[in-house]
Amino acid sequence: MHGGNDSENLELGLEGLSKVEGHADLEVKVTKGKVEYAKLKIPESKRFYTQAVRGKPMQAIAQLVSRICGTCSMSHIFACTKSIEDAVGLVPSEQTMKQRRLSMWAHLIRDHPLHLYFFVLPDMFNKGSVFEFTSTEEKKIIATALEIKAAGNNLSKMVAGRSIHAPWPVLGGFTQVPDKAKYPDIIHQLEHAREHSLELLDVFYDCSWKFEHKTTYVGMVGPNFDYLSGDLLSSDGLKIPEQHFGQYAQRIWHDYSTASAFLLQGKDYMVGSMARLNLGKKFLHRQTQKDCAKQLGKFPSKNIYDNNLAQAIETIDSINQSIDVLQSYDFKPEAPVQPTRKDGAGFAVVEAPRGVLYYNVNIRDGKVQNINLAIPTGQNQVRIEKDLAEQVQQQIDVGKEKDYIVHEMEKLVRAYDPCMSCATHFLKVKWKK
Amino acid sequence: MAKKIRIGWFSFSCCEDNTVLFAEILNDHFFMVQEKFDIINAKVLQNVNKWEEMDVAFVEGAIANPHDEETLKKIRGLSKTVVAIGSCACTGMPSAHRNNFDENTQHEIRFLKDKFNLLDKVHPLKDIVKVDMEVPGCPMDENKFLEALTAVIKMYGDQ
Repeated sequence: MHGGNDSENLELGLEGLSKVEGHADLEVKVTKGKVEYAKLKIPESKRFYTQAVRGKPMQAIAQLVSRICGTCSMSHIFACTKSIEDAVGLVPSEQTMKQRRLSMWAHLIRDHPLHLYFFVLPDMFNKGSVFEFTSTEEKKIIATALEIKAAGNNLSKMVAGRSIHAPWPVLGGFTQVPDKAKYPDIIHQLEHAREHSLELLDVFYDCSWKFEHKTTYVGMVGPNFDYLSGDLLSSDGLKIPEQHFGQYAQRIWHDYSTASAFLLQGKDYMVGSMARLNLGKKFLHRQTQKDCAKQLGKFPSKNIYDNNLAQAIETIDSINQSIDVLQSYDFKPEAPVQPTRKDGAGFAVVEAPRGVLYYNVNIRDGKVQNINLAIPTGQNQVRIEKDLAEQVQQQIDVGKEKDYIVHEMEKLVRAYDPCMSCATHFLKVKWKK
Repeated sequence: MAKKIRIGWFSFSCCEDNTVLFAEILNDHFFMVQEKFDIINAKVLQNVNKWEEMDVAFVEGAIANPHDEETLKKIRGLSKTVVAIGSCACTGMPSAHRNNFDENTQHEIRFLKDKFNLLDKVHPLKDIVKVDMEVPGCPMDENKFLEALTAVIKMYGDQ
């Protein structure tokens, strides 16, 4: 490479972007110094869950759709369950709602830190992986991060039986309730995790990475900040009823991807942590608002890298919310509510760690006729591609070299945290003139 | 300095729950893994990955397309021990549920299988290559995985 001139005509390819639920590649084409297109390609083999759930009893499919994503399994379980409950008119108890909230907060407390400390932190320290943190000081940071993650994992085990493919949640409730004898230890772990998370918060606040974009932010936010309820809002001022989300969001297919992408009323949009804080930071726990007042000043933000800061704040908030419930509520054995109807159409939105997860399900005679999903990564796809095109263009215009541009592409996609593995690292980098 | 055990971590068609569980197992075992293992290839965790000889390859997921089939054979050729982790790698399921679809559903998904060049059937690893150890479960059984880890430390670690 000899600087800017080589950037006149290029094809930038990143093969094996570490996994959007398995695998993703990036391709950017530049002709005469102008970016023609950027593609986020998802060639992962389809697993045909949409077909696999048909005809299955409505009580059985939450455990099946959980297997769509090992990273977001808890979100799939609750989105699916919520949509079936909507379909058959089943209203879960207040205790069930509390246990579901705890399950979602636990999900956030283990999932956001995985992204922040295993995937983002190495970039901040110019390292290839978390295993390259070898000095005493660096190991201390990792030990701290592991403690935060462990608190979420252990809370998951206590409230849902397991953090991945949780066995206790069922239609209408849970098969088991948290064991009160475990509260003191878990609360102790959560308090430590909160302290550690606050210590590490400014790593993300002080981060100088910047790429500002213009898009619409969409998220479901409301009191409790529980990722399960609230109003589905857009930064354009829309308030979308859950049952109408499918009419606002249009599914689009690309030949180069096995996953479908989405537009909202014809426009690109972003879902996820930053979207939630842009739309609903006022709903955060009062302790979070107090402890993170300075950092919350950055929201609403247009800088995609503030998605990392937003995740760090949501982790702290989920810890605060969980401690509150554990300190004030006793769970008693309770049978799941039984459905009274066996037919209907149901709609549900859940905020997965990466954003809006939409389920639409049709039930007939207690069996699933069909389901229809919108996954966060698909909803962010069009915006990710535009961001990539704009960022590469800016960098070509100022004569940046290939290695720099390629690394910045990785960082940008990773900031969206498309899935645990999806946003991590690239196997192979190809640079073709 | 003690010789490190060279390992790889690979994912094929699955939900990657074993990778997520491995990340949770690291909460308690990170520094042991850092000390004892040299991670040659694990694109989920690092950006520099090499296709070189390994002592142990941990492989999750089922095989659903010809590209993955070739990659698995390449991994087998480079590895002394192949460990299948999780249900999809060990049995194909649940990723292999399309193998059991009825005729109408098979017909419905035909064009997608053709468009994305998928294998007619989804396969567990052992259909394609020799598998030395299996850690079943969906996600993999945490204790059985730790047993497998202990076993490979015995096999390849400094005596």
